[in-house]
Amino acid sequence: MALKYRDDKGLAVLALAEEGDLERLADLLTHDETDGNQRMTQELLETPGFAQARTEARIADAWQFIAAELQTFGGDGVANRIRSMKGDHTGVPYQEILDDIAKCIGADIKAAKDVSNCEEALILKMLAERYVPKGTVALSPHARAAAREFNRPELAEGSVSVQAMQDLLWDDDGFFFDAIAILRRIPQFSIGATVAANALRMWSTPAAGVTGPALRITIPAMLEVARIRRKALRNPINLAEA
Amino acid sequence: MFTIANAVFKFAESNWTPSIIQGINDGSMVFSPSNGSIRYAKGELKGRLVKHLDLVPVTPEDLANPQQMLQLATTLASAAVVVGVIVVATAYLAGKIDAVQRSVDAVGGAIAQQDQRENLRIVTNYTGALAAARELLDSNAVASAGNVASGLIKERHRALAYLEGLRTLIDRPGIAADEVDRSLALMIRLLDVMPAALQVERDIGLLTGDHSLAENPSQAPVKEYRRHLGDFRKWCEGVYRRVAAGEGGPAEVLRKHRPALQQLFESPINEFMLSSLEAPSPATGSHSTGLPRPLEALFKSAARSEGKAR
Repeated sequence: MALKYRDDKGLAVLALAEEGDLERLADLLTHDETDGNQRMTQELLETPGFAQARTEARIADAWQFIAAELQTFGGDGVANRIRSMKGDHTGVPYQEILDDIAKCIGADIKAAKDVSNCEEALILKMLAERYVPKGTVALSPHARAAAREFNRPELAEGSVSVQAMQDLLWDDDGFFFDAIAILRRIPQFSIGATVAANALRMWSTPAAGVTGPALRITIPAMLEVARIRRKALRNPINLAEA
Repeated sequence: MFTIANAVFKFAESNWTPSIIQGINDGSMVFSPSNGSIRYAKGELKGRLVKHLDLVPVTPEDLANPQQMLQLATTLASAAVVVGVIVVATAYLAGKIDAVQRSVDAVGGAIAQQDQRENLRIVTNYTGALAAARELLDSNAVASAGNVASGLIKERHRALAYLEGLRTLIDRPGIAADEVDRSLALMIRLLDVMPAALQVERDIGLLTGDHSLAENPSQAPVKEYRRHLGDFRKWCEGVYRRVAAGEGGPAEVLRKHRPALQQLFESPINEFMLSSLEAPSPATGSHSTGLPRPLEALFKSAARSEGKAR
């Protein structure tokens, strides 16, 4: 099945990503982080346009293939195949991927005003074991341990108000990047008890589990896209910072 | 891509002998920056060549520390004349003008509306005026310099106004990606040629002895250019941020132009040329010789060297 990029405002930011960030995202999509083995279901490495760009060290030219791979992992395998045969794209739009992640982790992103806001809401939910709107966020033990490593006392201490966390995620780029790094440290199946439980429920349904969206890939991929987006918003033309 | 060595040159410091400095300051000699010659300005020898000044390429170290090099401008300046210390290579300027013209052709080839084609002529008029000015400097034809100079200034103002209008045009919803592509290329190249063009404007002033072109007013065009460049940068960042925020836009076109935008906004050569035009006005501090203090120091130092040579 050939990878075909679906025009997607949510993933257009990858056109502005730095080479290193695209490499990270491509690696994540093509290799299992737990053992480093190539994913059986990946197609990116076999896509001629991507392979050539990578060989010539101009992976930025191939951003649409990377986006297409993510869109494919976000879709149902059978539906992807049908889309590829009938249409000019393979996978699903990024917003659908975010909606699936939100369903899985029990986050409400309906009120989010844009894709950036959606990502922040998901990150907030992923950091929390218990998440009470207008209340406090209680972090999972994994998140707190990782927070200590990153010298983030506001997270390591275990309880912080939702508003404070939202403000930090929005206003403080350093905090935002650390939050993502913390989440990327947490073993995939224990991103909060809520996430794990929901994930198991979804994966226990045979059809959804076998051919459904690959949340174990799309969740970390979403974190990388969010990181790329924040960098691009901060310095969109990538000029040397004074 | 021109290397630094092909873009701008500076006058070797060894050129500035005490007799030449004295001659420029008392008006008996005139300096022609475009071809680096000193000629007699008065008397029987009027127009005769005194000396061709040696040019050396500007180095990366000069670009990194322009103030040291620009100190020479202050040193050489009297109350009456500002001496340019750098020369823009003809090939460099010609290359930039060609790049603008290619962009004009690309945009023009895709425009159906007559009024938009007419507007595009504004850019061609500017590059035409610039090319004419450059030729005039090479030929030292003082007589026609005034007309050429005022034409160039007028066309520059119109070209900058055109750029503002073009941004508004690109911002309209539903604009095709290839139209954004061509228009962005034109805007970048037009802004990229202007620092060198401002040097040409200043050099014409020096050629004609029109101090209104050569002296402090050089700083006004530079200020105006910097303002337009700043506005363009803000506008570009807005367009890029909309794509980054997921609001849509021609992502692939923006990716393609990012290196050129980085080069435009961070060009050490352009900044160097602008800084040389912004160099402070000649020092007019009081001194027994009537010369600015740094100038006298150079005079005395050079006189000692001249004395030894004799």
